[in-house]
This record gives sequence, C-alpha cells and structure tokens, in this order.
Amino acid sequence: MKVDHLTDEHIQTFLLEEIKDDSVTKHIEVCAICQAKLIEYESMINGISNLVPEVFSFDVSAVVLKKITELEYQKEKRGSMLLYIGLSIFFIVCLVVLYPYIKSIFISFNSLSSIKSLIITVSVMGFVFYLLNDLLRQYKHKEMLISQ
Amino acid sequence: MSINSDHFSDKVIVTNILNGNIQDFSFVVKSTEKLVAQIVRKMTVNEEDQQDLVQDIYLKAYKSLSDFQFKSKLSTWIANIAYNTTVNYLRKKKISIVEIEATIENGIITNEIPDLETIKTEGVSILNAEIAKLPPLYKTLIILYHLEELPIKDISEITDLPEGTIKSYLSRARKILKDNINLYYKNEEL
Repeated sequence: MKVDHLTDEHIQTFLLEEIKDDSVTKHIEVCAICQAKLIEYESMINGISNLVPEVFSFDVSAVVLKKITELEYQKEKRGSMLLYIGLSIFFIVCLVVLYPYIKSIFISFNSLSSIKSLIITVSVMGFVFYLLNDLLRQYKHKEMLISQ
Repeated sequence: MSINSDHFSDKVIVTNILNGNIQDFSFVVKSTEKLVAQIVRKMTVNEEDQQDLVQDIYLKAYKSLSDFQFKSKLSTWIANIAYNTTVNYLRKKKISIVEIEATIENGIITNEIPDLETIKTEGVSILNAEIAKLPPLYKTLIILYHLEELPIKDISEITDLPEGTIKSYLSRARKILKDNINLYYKNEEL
C-alpha cells in the first residue's frame, strides 16, 4: 500500500506552528517516518537556538569611533580651509570694490582729528577681534566635543 | 509599547549624535554589533576583511544617519546596511550568496536517526560545521530567524527580500542542513 508522507515543508511549518492543519497532526501521530523527521527538525532547530552567537575578535566601538573621529577631523579641517578661502575671496572682493573709494577714505581720515581717527580704528579693530575670538572659541569647543 | 519605546530611545540617540555628540554613536555600535556580527561573520570568513567591513558599515550608518526616517528600528536599519555592504563585498569577490556547493539538496531519507543525546553532546560542533557549509544567505537567514529570533518582517527589511521568499529560503536551508547532518552521521557509521 502506498503511503503519502508529508513533505519537509509541511513538517517544518507544522513544527514552527506556521499553519494549523488537523490532517498534518493526524498523519504525524500515526506515521513513524514523518514523526522521525519531525524529531530531527526539532532537535536541529533547538540546537541552532542554543548556539553561541558570533562575536568580533576586536573592540568594534573603539575601531569605529576612531574612524569617525578621523572623519570629523578631516571634515573640520576641510571646513576651516573653506572658511579661510572664503574670507580671502571676501577680502579681495572688498578691496576691489572699495579701491575707487580708498583715496577719499584716507582724505576723510586726514580731515578728522587724530582722536576721532583713533576711536574709529580701535572700535573697528575691537569688533573684528571680538568676532575672530568668538570663532576660535566655537572651534575649540567643537574640537573638545570630538576628542571626548 | 516596546516598539514605541524603542523608537523613542532611537530618536533620542540619533538626535544627540546629529547634534554633535559623537560619543553617543558608541551606544549604537554596542547595541547593534551582535546583530552585525551575525551577518558579517556568517557571510564572510576572512577576519581582516570583516574588520574593514564593520568599519565600512558603521561609517555608512554614521554618514547617512540624518536620512534615517524612523520607519523601522535603528538596529534593523543598521543590519540592512550591514547586509547590503556584505553582499556587495561578496559580489566583488564573485561569491554567490545562494548558490549551493558541495551540499545535498535532493532528499536523503535515513531510517537511522541519531539519538538525541548524541546530537546534544557532539551536536554543537557538527551543527556549526554544517551551517558553515551553507551558502552565505541561507546561513544568515537561519541565524537571524532561529538564533536571533527576529520576525520574518524584520528579516525582510534587513535583506530587502519579500517575506515569502525568505520563508521559502528558510525552508530549503533547514532541509539542506538536516540532510547534511544526517549524511554526516551516516558517513560516521560506515
């Protein structure tokens, strides 16, 4: 008499409870071959669940953070370089634009009293110094955050 | 609730990193490195390549963190990057991820089943050896589903494969693995 056994797929889905099929349950109850297959699958799957998970032999965090710090440093360096290039271009453009007026600025400075000229010069220099100092402070703060 | 809290903590960590707290990225690495290890170490063998791959994976994740939409868990998103990076590496090396070499696909029916105690004692090393013989994708699917106990939906997001395909690959992988284990015991008996 020919017996139709369950396919491996049927046995697996029955074992993993992906489908509920009474005919499969009934067949397994009476068929020794399918029962044996079910036990094989069960012990294999239990075995896999109890395997020790793979781990890396190196400190992943340290390796990755080192790379990221390098990347950020390169980015920061590129940013600073772009800033200097931008400032240089801005300075050159200002010089070109202001060139026709430079003479008249000097003349107006000459016409002012030396105290007034000194006050204007010191104020402008103080303002520029404040801006540059603030820029440097922000840069150092970011650098400190990266190296922490 | 758990998914919501996962998303909340993912959002906090990602926001902190994007605000310049690079050190917080180590939390991301520590919480995902086990999953990444399952993918990279199961799909590749060379340790030096694995180190390069891991760096590559996390650098890609760091660079594209601002693109993360919180549609999935951060760990699933990083596992997806790990999977794609590893698959690209295997493609460059011209290694197929599903091709079966030196394995038996067509059923071997054994009447002699190894007894459960034998499987338990020697089982681990034999199981590890037989899993190692599986094609890279099958190995990964088996480990993600049975060891990491990830739902099919998450595995589908990681591998970009339809859920039906994953189920069918898993079924094939389990059958090949069982048949290979049986063959091993059969050869032992001879």
